[in-house]
Amino acid sequence: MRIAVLISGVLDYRRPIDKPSSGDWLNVIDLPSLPYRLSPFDEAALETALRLAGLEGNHLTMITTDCSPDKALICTLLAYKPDDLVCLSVPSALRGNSRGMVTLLSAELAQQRDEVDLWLMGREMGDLDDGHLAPYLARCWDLPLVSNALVVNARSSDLSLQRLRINRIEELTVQMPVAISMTNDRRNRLRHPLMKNLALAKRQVISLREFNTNSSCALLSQAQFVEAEPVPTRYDSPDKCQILRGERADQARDFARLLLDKTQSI
Amino acid sequence: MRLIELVVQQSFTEEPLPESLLGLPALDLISVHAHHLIVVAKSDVADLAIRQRYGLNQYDSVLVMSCSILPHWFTHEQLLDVFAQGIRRLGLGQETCVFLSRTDVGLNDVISGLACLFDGYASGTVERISTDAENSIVLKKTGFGGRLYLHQKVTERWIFLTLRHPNRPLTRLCKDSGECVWTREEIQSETLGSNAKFLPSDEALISLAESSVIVAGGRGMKSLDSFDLLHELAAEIGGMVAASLPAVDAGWASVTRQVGQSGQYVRPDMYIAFGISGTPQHLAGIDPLTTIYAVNKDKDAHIFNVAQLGVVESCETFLPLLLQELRQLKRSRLIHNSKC
Repeated sequence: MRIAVLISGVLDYRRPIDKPSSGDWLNVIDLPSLPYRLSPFDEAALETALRLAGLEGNHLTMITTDCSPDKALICTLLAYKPDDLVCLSVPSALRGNSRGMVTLLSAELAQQRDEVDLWLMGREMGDLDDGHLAPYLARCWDLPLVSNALVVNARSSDLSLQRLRINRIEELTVQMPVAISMTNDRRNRLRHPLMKNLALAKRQVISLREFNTNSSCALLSQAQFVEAEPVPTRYDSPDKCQILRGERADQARDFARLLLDKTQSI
Repeated sequence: MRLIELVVQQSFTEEPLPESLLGLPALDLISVHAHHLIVVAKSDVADLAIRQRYGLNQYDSVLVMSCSILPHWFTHEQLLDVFAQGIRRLGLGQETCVFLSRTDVGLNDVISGLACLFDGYASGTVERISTDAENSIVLKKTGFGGRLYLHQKVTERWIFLTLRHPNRPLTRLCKDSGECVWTREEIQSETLGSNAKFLPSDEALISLAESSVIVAGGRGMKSLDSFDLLHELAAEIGGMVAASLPAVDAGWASVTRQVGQSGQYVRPDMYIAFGISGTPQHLAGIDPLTTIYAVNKDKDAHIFNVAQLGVVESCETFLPLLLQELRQLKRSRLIHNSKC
């Protein structure tokens, strides 16, 4: 089985996003120098790919997009010892544009498209996708799609999966070739790479595959980000939290009264 | 501009969808001169039921696509096929069309697939739609894990999007005059393709998105037994139980209950957080208008920066007391009411 995993990466979600020096929040989209990390969905897809690739005779290709300029993250990926690693340089104007991204991937991965049996990716592909890229890609490439998969197991000629629906978990089987978008689950938590592999990876030369944007510029002109601003956070609220005081039993009584009053008024 | 709303009467959940026109308050300042509804429904769903649910005042046309074969779920491919047939049936011509649906894990797939099929623009999940001075459509959405609002100008002819699902009452659009054209069409099941075979799982049905009260537990719950108390509390106050990522990872709750950046986005009126520290990743899954109450033994926990009311106590010791007081209070109020 030939497996390809698409890894986008996201800006470190544990850190606040600093206002760009230009003063224009839109420039956040253009800044490749900020450190990236794998999203929980990237990790789920990667771990699933590593587990399946560990089976005899399987072949794993990793393909990175948004996080490609982050050398440290790419070294970490190399330490997982993929058979191939393709680092695509994504023009910032293509980010958040499913059609533009699929144009890029179609052009750069023509060979893999014919060979790969299983395409894995996170349920969201990067900071500007909210789960719409995977279905767009699957449709364009004429692949069946299983989205929000929790766990994937290989059987003799097909795959068995569990996937998350809006309020239930479903089990299903699918034939390959297939595209699967993964969501996080305790069964697909990413393993750590071996230290010796990390050391070896740091010595490897990584090359970025640049993309000629001319073919997709016409598409981009019809959809572009024109403004950005930070989402107000709850931390911006002037209201202070009221902390209940007194004995534990008194607090419980006051809290119970409040909950009952509030829920009855909703 | 034409607005085409896509809904499924029998959703993946087998529960009735809450309302049509999901998110229409999110449509600002746009001039819609034709409004269409495409409903995919099981064959045994009567026209009358659909008319009662969706109303007709605001639509220029309603197209019901009926199908008999699907006993439980439409697959992604099947649903896409049916909606594609419905869209072709409308004969929309050259006009700008916005196709919208609620956002959920199934319909996101369908909407993006349709965008690809019809060579339209897949804009993803949108919070608001407006037009600029040039009458171009501007979509407001969030990016970077809910940390930035992004405004995107789109000049494509066909735009496919999903709207965040509000659980509050919605204002409906009303068209000025004219009859609603009603069409019902039976889809032949043999025409629908899918290579997926579905088996139901034992996971209990829950629907966090539509719950007005959520009782959530995090790492501070310490054990599965403590989490069981959350279920009791939720039952007492008519809420649903949710969990943070660490609680899901610990195996105390199913991933279907996970709230946060990597889980569900919820909009309850009240969110009661037990043993949740309040990381940005978790708070990204809670609507800013939601009132948060928090119980955490760490007085410096971030959750107290965003909560309206807090209790600094260990969840393990506080929850049993709270349940006891709640039940006692309910009993005394019941007695009082019966005397009155």
